[in-house]
Amino acid sequence: MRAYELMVIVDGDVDDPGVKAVNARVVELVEADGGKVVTTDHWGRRRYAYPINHKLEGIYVVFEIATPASNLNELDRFLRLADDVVRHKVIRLPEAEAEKRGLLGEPASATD
Amino acid sequence: MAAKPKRSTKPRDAARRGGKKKVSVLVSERVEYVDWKDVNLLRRFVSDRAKIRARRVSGNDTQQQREIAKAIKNAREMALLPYTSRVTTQRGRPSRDGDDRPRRPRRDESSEFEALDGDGADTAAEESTDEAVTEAAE
Repeated sequence: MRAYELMVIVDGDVDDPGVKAVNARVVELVEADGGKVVTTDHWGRRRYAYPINHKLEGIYVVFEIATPASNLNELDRFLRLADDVVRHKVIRLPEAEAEKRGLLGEPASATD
Repeated sequence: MAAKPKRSTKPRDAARRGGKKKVSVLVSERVEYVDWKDVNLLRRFVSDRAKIRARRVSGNDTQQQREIAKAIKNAREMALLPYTSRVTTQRGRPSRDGDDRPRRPRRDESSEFEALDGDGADTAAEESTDEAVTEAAE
């Protein structure tokens, strides 16, 4: 199990149910092989620092995730193919930071 | 640039000589993890042209600078920070970067250097009087 941070930018034209669908799929993929989404932070609409696809804003969602690395390929593949997702980024959190945020529970580290 | 205090436009070696070592924002605010999502923090490490500030300007050590650079690049990919930002300059040829230190001092700044020399003389004078005082004490 490792701690990751995932940021997803959903196209600004997508409506609320569309965003929820993306979130649900992310959760599903993370939980596929024993991972879990610890927190979901919905930033909401945010103006881009520069236009992307001639659009000026997008919907940002940030997840904190604890998962085995085996889940990441599928997750990444989905995010890359999904038309509603403009950009996404998975960052591996350093152990110290993950611990501070309490992302890795004690039982998880025992099975590691 | 014009709004900045004059002191920041003096040549680098003069700024260093006798001065204190520059302390990074990371140290003064006790940042232990440079979060690439923290736009307000990262903004302080880029120029108004959105270029990453050099180490000698930001006061970062090697590790800090690397972390900051990585974080800024991540933030740029996610459109949290701009890659470039145009700065409109009205007169003369535009400087290479909108930063606060011109490579060569322009002629109209020469008066400032005289003032600086004056400063140096002042401190020297102070030192000598200090010495005189200690001598007198002995």
